[in-house]
Amino acid sequence: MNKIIDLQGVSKRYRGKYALKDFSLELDPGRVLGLLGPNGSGKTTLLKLLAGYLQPDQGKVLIQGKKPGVETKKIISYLPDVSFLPKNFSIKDALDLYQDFFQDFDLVKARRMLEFMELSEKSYSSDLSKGMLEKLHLALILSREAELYILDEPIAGVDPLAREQILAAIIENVKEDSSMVITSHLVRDMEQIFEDVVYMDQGSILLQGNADELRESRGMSLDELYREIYS
Amino acid sequence: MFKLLKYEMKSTSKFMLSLAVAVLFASVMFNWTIKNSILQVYNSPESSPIISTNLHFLPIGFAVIIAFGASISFFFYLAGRLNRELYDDERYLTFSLPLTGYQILGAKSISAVLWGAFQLLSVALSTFVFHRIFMWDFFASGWKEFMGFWMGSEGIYSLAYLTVTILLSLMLVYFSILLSKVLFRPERGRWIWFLVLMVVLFINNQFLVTLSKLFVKPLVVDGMIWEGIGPHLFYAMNQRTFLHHLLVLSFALIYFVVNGYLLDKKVEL
Amino acid sequence: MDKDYKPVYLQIVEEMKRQMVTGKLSLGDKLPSIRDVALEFKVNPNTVQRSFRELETQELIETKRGIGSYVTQDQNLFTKMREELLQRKLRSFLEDMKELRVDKKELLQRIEEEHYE
Repeated sequence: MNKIIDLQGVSKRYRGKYALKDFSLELDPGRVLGLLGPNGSGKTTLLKLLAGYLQPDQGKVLIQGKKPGVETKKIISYLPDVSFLPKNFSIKDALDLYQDFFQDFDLVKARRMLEFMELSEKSYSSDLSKGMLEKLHLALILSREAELYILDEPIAGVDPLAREQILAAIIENVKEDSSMVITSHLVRDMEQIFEDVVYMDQGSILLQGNADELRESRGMSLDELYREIYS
Repeated sequence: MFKLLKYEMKSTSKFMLSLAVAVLFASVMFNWTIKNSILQVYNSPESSPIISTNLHFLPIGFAVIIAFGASISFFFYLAGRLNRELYDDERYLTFSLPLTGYQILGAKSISAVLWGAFQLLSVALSTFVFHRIFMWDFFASGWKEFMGFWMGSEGIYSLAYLTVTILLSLMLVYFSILLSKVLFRPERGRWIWFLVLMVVLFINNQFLVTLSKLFVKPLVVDGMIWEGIGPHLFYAMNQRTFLHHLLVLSFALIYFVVNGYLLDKKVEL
Repeated sequence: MDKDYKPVYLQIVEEMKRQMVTGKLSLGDKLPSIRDVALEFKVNPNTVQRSFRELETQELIETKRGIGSYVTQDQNLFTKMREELLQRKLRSFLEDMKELRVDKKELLQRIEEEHYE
């Protein structure tokens, strides 16, 4: 019955400006939420608050009713939009690390995904192209049996073929007992996966709702709606 | 947490082994340069058995510099490592792990102490071996005494104090880094930690010395009691008591707790 | 102009019906898994699940728990569905022709010319 995500009146300042202002949002478990908006709308700040990388200045951030901390980190799998592995790590080192520190990590699944993406365990993260790195990151993140997956721009700056593979991996990962929050500029590619959407701007919510309902009521795709909202 | 310790020790192993090799090399060099002079002095019946300081000022000075340099590199390396984990992109990985700040600090502290011990032991061992092979007659009794000391209660106590000192130094460095991260903008915070360290060391020493004076046996020289002793003199004189050592330990623990708090609640990525 | 934007799950239902009418999915055939359909159309599996449920409500498919979903064996239903689809497409086509002001005579003539078999 606990909402997987519950933000109550959250405000967060960054360099004097409000990255998030009196922001409230709830997400039921088992849903896929699309978080849409231009750069600077507060999306990444929101994700970081969920993951526990930031503390809110005001308001509450609750993950399954708990404040972000060690317990929530056990059930959240976060994909940052930067390369987060140490430069001298090989893929095997990364697998070992995840295996050691995350109880919900499925090594078999990870290996299968890496094989599907044609990545070798012996490669070093510094050798990989952007597309290969993104696929590696995703393989690590999705191989955890987490309750909440947070994906920050999973297909940005990635070649079309890698994009296909990444999308397929995400779709395959949609499960009844886990939730996803995904941000993306490339709305067109991703919108069919979203069940709920939130359009953000300057730290506040412009529009939110069920993806299908919004499409029906507005008579347009989420992508077209995006263009309309932000122009 | 043992997994974390294993991970921490493995990640720092490359540097630590290189440092040990470098120090080992220096110590062998040092021993080699004094070897001939010592054997000469020892074997010739005319010269006094006391080694002329003039002959060996340079190598001993060199040894001190190496020891000092090694300690500095040791702490700077560990500082740099924490900086990387706080400022580089890999911070997203580090802070996604379900670990408390105390677990992270604990693992780093234990790893530092173990590697520190490793450095000291490897130097001691290599020196011992060298002396055993080349200058045993001269150094045999010295080594017996040396070993005896470390096995005894006083030796163990000194070891404990040495450990606490390493710990406190590490905690001071980490405190400066964490404080910089919390107080300053990312670009500045990363480099300003060293200045912060200077300030922290100064303030810390003032506190430590002032409080320590409460536990120090008064220094009596020629019937006169020395009251106002400066920090450097204070550490030079062996007036420190058990309570003082306990005080140092408390400082180390307090910094540990504060650092853990900063890491858990105040550090923002 | 108000575009009638259909919910994704209904679009998939339409697509599956089309496959049945065109013969890609015959009577009694086993449907691809929800996962495979999701991957093919790049949509959320939950959406596909909804589509399948809709198809079940329309009695076009039958889901046997643990085994999978199967196209109906009922030929009548198939025929009815084909009829619906045909009617819809035909009407739409005729409306387009009307817009282009093609009269009945020209229309029949053109169809003849196309040698439609």
